[in-house]
Amino acid sequence: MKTVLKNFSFPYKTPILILSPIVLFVPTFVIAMLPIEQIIQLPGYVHRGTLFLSTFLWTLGFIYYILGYHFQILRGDEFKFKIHLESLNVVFTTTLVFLFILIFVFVNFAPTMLSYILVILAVVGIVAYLLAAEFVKEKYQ
Amino acid sequence: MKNTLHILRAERRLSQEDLAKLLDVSRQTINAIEREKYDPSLPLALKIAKVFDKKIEEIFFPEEDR
Repeated sequence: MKTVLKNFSFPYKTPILILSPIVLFVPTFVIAMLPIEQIIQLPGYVHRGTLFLSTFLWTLGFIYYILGYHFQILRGDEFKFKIHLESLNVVFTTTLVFLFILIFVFVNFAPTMLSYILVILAVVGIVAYLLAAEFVKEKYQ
Repeated sequence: MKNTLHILRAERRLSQEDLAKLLDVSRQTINAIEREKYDPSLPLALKIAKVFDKKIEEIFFPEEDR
C-alpha cells in the first residue's frame, strides 16, 4: 500500500498569509508618513516601482499559499480531503449563483461596478469556502 | 455502513489518537468512522482490517446485516 505523505511540510500558513497583505500595504503607510510635496516631486518610476514590487510580492505570496494548501489537502488525510471537496462544491454553486445575480444587478443598476466583479466573486468564494468548511465539519461530528 | 471499530479499539485499549497514528490519519477521521458518519476508502478499510487482524467484512457491514 502506498504511504500517504500525511505530514507533508509546507510552510504555507500564517506567515505568508500575514506577510502578503503587509507587503502590499507597506508603501501606503510609508507614503502616508512622508511629506506630500516630496512624494509628488518623486519621479513616476518610483511610484510605479513601489506598486509593482509590493503587488508582485503579494501575488507570489498568495500563489505560494494557495498551492501549499492544495498540495497539503491532496496528500493529507482522506477525511479532510472529503470535507475540502464538499466545501468546494458549495463554493462552486455559490459563486455561479452570485455571478449571475451580480451581472443582472450591475448591468441594470451599476454598470461601472462590472469592473470589480472578479474581485467581488473572489471574496464571495473565499467566504463561502470558510463557511462551507465549518458547515460540512459540523455534519460529520 | 455500520462498523465495529469502537469495540475493536476498546478491546485493544487503544485511544482514537493511538489508532489514528497507527493508520496515519487524523483523530477526526477515526471519530467520524466510529460514529458512522463517514465511510473510509478501501485502502483505509484494508489498513484498519490489517491493524485488527480481521477481514474487512468482519469490521464493516451494511446496515441491514446487523
